[in-house]
Amino acid sequence: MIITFFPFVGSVLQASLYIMKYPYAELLYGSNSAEIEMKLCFVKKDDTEKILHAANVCSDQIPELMKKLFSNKWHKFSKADIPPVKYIECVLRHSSVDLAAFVRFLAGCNGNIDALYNKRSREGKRYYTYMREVTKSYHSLCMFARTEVFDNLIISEINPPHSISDLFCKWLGRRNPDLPVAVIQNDIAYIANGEYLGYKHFDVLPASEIESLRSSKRDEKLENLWDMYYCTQMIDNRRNPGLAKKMQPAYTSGISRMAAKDRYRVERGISNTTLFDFTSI
Amino acid sequence: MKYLSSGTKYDSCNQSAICHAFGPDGRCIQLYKTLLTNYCSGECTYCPNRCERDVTRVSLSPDEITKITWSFYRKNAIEGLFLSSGVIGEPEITSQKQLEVATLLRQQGFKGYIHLRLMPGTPKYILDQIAEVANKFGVNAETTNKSNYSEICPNFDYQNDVLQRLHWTDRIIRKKRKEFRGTNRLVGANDTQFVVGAVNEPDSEIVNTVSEFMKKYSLRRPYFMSFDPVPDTPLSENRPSPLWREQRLYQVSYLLKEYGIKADDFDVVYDEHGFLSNSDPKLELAKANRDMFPVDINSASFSDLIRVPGIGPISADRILRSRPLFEEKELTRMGVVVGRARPFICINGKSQASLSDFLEACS
Repeated sequence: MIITFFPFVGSVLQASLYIMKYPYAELLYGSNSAEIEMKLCFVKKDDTEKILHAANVCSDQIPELMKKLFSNKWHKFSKADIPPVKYIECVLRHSSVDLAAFVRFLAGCNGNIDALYNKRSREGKRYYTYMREVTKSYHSLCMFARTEVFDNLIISEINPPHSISDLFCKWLGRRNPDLPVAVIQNDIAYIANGEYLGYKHFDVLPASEIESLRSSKRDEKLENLWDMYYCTQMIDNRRNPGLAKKMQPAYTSGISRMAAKDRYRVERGISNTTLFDFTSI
Repeated sequence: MKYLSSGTKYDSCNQSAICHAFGPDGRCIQLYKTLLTNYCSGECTYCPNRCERDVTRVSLSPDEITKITWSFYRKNAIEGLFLSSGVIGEPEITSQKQLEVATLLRQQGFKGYIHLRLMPGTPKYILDQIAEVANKFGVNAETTNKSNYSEICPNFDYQNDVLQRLHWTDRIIRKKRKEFRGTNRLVGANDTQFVVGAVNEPDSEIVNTVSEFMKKYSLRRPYFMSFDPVPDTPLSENRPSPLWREQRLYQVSYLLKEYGIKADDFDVVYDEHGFLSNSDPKLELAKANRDMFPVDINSASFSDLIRVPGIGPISADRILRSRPLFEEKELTRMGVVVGRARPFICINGKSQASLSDFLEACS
């Protein structure tokens, strides 16, 4: 038997329920039906082999599936961690996740929701780490990604390690409800508040389409203003490079140019002398 | 901008959301912090902006502050604005100016966070208006009692200008919480700041004051700033307070707030002058209460578990949800700092032997 599924929460939960019923079935996933069909051509031994498809469900039905998989405690989560449905969504967004193994892990929890969080098993710890890495990556974007502000548009170019660009775009959209926001990753642009530009509220477009919408840039000197502000917040005799580096790790400098400059100052401190001081002697 | 932002670098504020940068001193930058003006009629003995000090005096107009705040906010460089000020004539006039900035931002559709650090003696009717536009606002207590306060802030009265305002702020915040329950509006909590070491108040006095403020004014978070002498001020010859003192006081404040430990419980960890030592207060507390340990990981209650050094509320919660536990390795996975916790726990019937156990067995 082959169980096919999509990398979405509803479909993964459905697949986990099927695998509990048919533990020896093979798992196969694809981002769309065409991909699954193509993969099936390679995997299917003969036409008599039974295929179960775990279709994606709408968000209203997810609680019901969670209840079937984890009994009544499905919504249980600690203060420190995100809810189980979000946990699963984060793991699915991780770049290294083996989806079939994750489906088997969910089924192997045997209805114990704590197995997702308590890190007692090696698999549990791995997926917990994945969840933390994805949330950390998302938070890093929210912290250190900077935008280019145009008269009619806010644009941010990012390249995160996991598939979280859409989440970041929605977050930027909520922050700036009065302007359309575009988040560009390689050749794809995610748009939030798209109704201002004649698109859907949240939309995905080719990046080239956004390039044409860029108008004249405003506030060119803003970065210099930020640099000035940043330097005023330093208390000289409290410099603590160890703590500063821990708070702003080296990888964050790759997120935006402004973050790279701030990170450089975390590493090297802020110089008190300038070229102007030298020439004015 | 440079002068006024520099004037707020000693002010601590945190809305515990998203930090957008970290300074070389490791403190996070999440708000555009500025003074409205550094003109000040106050004579606070530790303050770089005291009226008698010879410094360049500048002001920013409400328009300028809103413009800078918007620019940084759109750039995703800040979460909001922190606005403090020198006292321009009367506290009422200054607070009205601060209110003007916050109102202007909200009228322009600003959805970010606004924190106003108000002047001691701000009238109640202005506090009421500020509560409509600001997420957080409060007055700095600076120290622990009336006599200390009059020593460092001779123009203001501790009871009337500070404590009364903390009381009003608490009442207004409670009212707002009820009003905005279930909406997205962020209503802050009462907060205040202490200058540690400007006068000779011991740590025990500060801890007791914080605990009292938590009960009386629902103080959620106290901020501490180590005293650093400023040239040309009456306290310029005083010695700076050690930075670790600030850190230890923060640790104690978390133990009061998150761990349910009472201020009196710390009596055993102070030295004879009432000061904390430069070591983890939770560890010191555990060492002073050896009879409470070791606790059995598989049967201890949440409140007993969080008293163990190396176990915080999150890992204690995980332990409760994963019992029974048989190995230290399992604890490590759950985020317990086993090296620190080992002398105070018992797992699967085993606990670390101590020299006193050994001597007892020998005898």
